[in-house]
Amino acid sequence: MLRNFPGAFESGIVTKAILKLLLLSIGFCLPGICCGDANPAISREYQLKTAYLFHFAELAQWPDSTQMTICVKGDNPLRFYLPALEGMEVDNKIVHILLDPVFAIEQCQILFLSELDALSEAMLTQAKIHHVLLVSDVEQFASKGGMIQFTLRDNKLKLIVNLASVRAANLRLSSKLLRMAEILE
Amino acid sequence: MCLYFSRHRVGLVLFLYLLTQALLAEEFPSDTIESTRELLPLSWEELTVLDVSGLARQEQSVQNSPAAAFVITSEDIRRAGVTSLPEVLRMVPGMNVAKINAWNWAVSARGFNDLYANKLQVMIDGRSIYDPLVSGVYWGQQTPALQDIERIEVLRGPSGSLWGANAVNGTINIVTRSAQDTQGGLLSGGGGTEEQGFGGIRYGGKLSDATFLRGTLSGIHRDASIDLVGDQDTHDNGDTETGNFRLDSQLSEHDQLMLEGNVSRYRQHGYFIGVSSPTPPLWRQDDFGRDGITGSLQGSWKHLTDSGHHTDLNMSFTQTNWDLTTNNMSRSQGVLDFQHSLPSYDNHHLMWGLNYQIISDNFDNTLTLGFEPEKYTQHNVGVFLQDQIDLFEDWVLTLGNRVEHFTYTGWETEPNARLLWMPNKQHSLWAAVSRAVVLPNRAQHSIRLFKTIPGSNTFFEATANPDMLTENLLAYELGWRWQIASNLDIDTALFYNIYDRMQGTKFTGNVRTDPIYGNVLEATVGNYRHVESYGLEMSINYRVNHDWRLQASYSGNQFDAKYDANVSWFRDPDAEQHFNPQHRLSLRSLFNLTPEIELDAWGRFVDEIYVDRTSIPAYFTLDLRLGWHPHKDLELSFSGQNLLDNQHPEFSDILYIPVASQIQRGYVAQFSWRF
Repeated sequence: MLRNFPGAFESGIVTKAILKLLLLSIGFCLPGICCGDANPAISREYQLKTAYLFHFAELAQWPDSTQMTICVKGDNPLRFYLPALEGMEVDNKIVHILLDPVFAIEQCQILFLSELDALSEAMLTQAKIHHVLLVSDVEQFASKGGMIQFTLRDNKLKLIVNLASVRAANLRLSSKLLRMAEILE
Repeated sequence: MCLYFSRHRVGLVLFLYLLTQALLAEEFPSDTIESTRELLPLSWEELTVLDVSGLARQEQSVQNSPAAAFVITSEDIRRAGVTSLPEVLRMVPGMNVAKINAWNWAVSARGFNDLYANKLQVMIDGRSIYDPLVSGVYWGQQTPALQDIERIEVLRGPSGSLWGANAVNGTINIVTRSAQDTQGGLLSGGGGTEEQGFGGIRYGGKLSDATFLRGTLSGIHRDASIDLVGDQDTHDNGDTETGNFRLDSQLSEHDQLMLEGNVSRYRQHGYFIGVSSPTPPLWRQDDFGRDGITGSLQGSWKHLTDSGHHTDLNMSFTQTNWDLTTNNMSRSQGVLDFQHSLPSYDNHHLMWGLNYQIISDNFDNTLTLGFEPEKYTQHNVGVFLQDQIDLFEDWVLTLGNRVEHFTYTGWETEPNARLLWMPNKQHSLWAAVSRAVVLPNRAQHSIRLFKTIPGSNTFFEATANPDMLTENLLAYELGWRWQIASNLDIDTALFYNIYDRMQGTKFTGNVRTDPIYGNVLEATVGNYRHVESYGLEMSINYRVNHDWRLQASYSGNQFDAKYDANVSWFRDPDAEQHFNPQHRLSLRSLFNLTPEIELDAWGRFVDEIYVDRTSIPAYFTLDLRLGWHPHKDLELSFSGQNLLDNQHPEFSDILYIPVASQIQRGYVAQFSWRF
């Protein structure tokens, strides 16, 4: 399973052997995580979240947007995956990813918040004014006014949508997205 | 499981683990972006069913299985716009699907197609639905609600070592959605020109934190079709009603229980049954219809231990009662099945199992149709063992065998060897050699059919052959899966099959002179022929983007039968070559016009065939579907089927009782509403 692990550790045969043994034992303990010859360090969960965000760009409607920028605020593993969307096309718009530590919220169509604290009154107001879709994977996000919250259920990603917040920002979500979401009215 | 290290080393292990994590964070794997991009062509429906840990089970089973496998998802079913199971199977390469009339189908894999084709194992949640009378499936009596199906796994080629006798040319497992996945209500229905009316209601509820129950009621009414000449109504209208429940419970962390029950009632016409009588008219043909009820109850208990043992206990009971003018039948079937997967030992993954089947039937014989003896019970037992061995870097060898004992033929064995080579992410190649057997069925062993030869006034009497042996297959297969790009893959399979002791039906040459019926020709069945077949199957999946998916499949096959040319054959001894189209093509396009509107097209080509002296020309056909989701809980769709001509025949049948009809252009509107 881990045979094709890329040579990230070139620092001597001993270290390599120990790490190999270790990685093998980890693989042994968690056989469910590993799949085929995929790299174990790559998280399927964040790959999926990235692909979901790509679909959100299409399944949500903004009142007046000519661009599609997805931003991340805070420290989140998603930073390593989102660049996969850079340059992709959705509805004749090119997707841009903004990972800078400081950015203006009006630059973003979708904003992923890494922490619940970031969901301040000011943030909600800004999101309303600039029609920004707020997404996160922290607990309580949707009930505290966030728009789309990822959650894990039965080993699958599920969505919790706060429809009032979405509407307040003058955004529309497709019925296709809402079909598989739990909705907080 | 993790007690791999002695206790005093835990600190060191933890330290090294943290070190590894630090190194990983520093140099994040370079293919993160690339492998994430592989998910982008997936449609929303495909994406939302993927598991967070590991690959989706179906994806994995297809990609890594050393066999010709194909998975139909619930999304494929919904977007095909069809209303019956056999229609869904048309998208699978290597499957022959031909409609005979509103309720009867010829469905097989890799040729040998016929009404009730006998070399296909078909299961719903592991319960076999092929009928032991003819070893085929009465598709008109199997009408599960399509919305309840999670996926259909189709395996072409023999898999007798896992699924037993009759898993010869293919195995189809229909997996229904768990009760947990079908909570809440679903009301669906529709109607159209051919499918005149159908509807169903499903409701699922939670009994406790870990126990879920759902029930479904559904019904269908179908219109009559038109005969092969094109001017007579074939009166094959009818209806079926089905009730179904499923209970899923997580009994403990290690135990899972599933119970499922099903009752179907069917009243179907379009059976031109003839009745022979000792007083004039000696032979009267009329449509008496078929009336029947089938009920089943099944359960499965899965147990997983901490040490990695996985046991699976399945049981099912099926009761079938038919009320025909020519014969009544009452039959009970019970199956008990146990399977055990052992934890991996070195590079071996062992699995073994036991099964027991009892079939007990009772017929009311008439002059026209009888089964001797009228009452009969069969007991069949089997044991199987399979070892999957990881060889070298990227080779996997699977060796399996099943030994079974049948009331009819005694001991049989179905071994197979499969080798899989996955040199890299793009390619996987596999090869297999297998033996499989077709068990003689109750009809071949005990039928007595007394009627006129179709199209004449001369009577014949076909009698069974209690000495009938199994038909034996030796199959050689090769396969290649090529992931050309993240959004494009090709799956190819080649096969060469040798069938020994194939059944043939012939006139014995004896003519009995009867005071009432005059000269009566005698016919019988036996293992008279030898058939070889070879073919190619291909499917191509192309995701243009996440809103547009194309899927094409091609199948081609050839047959060569050897038999005694001096014998007067009752059925075509070259049936395989004549009944099966040489080339078949299917091209599907699934396109999202907007997130709420879907436009789907499905074109098919089927080569000409020649069945029972009737020539069925090649045909092109096209289905179109427009789907609309005006609200998150409502789906509306409108489909046109067989749009390219007013009607065309797909198969014929004169020996058995259903009357063959042509398939007409049809329109159907459907809705489904979740509440």
